[in-house]
Amino acid sequence: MGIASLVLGIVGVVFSFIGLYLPAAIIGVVGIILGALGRKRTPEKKGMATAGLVLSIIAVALALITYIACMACVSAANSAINSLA
Amino acid sequence: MYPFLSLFGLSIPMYGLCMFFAILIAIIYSSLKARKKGICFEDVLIVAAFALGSAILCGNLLYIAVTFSFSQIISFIKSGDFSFITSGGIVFYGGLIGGIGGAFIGAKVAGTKLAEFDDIVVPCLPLCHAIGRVGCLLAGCCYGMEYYGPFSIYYKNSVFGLASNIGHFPVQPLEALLDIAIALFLFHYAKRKRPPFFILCKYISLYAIMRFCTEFFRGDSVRGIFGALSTSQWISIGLLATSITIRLLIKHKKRSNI
Repeated sequence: MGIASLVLGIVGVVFSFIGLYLPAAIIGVVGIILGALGRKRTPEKKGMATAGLVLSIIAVALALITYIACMACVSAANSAINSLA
Repeated sequence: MYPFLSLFGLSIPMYGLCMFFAILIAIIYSSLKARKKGICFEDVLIVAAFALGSAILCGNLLYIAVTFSFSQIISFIKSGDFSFITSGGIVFYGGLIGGIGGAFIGAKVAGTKLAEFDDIVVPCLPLCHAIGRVGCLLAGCCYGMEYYGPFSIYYKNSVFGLASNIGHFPVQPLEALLDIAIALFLFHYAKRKRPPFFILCKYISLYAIMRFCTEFFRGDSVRGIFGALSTSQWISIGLLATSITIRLLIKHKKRSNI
């Protein structure tokens, strides 16, 4: 679980940087779950799970900041883009 | 308003930044409170991750449901245009319902009882929402109706095309203040002895009443309207009825156990 979390954390951070925010958020959330479960169930392999956990949290944080906007923001932005087109 | 923060040449959206800090504060507070109750940090993270993931998904689903018609969604899929999914809209009520469902699954996976998280997590929710509303104010979205009385807001250089000479009702600061009042009440209420999930029911009831009333002062027209009420007002009525029913059922169960 620690290795899976680490891999997902790395993929999540890469996705966040290249602008794939929704997949990054979902991968990051799964990475957090696996990292936390890894730390809890296999304490002897805590290091890798912790690294995965931290990277997954960074991926989710980056995705949250850039992806989430409330409904009015997105709709207004969409209508603005449509009016320009 | 200030929809973006310029930092080291980067434009950071203020709404997302506010939501990030809100979630960070909630997780730090919940972890400290959980440690006092003897719940491990990993369990808090598992429940929080499940709740957050399902909140984002359900909030997005409700956004799509109220924004696009079924035929529009079908035509988007047929043309291979999935921008309606990735555009990033979130409806709070979808997030709240999804978050509660996700937290139930998270507690099962972590092997803990969700009732133990009632007084740890729930009082943080209105606090997070208040910070989110500050984000709305900075972004200039979720604005109020036309109003020229005290505390009216004029949006200069609005990215949503609002005229700078039109005053708006300060609905976002009002909601933020009411959310803080609900949070303070819940922090106080959490110290009392009460049946499981009573804090969650109290929060849902208070928020539903507050949201039903503040919706009348909203001016953004992109929210769905069904009949005389908005989508959020209909959901408020449903949630209020559900929370009252759950509270009555818990009370009834407690009495029958005695």
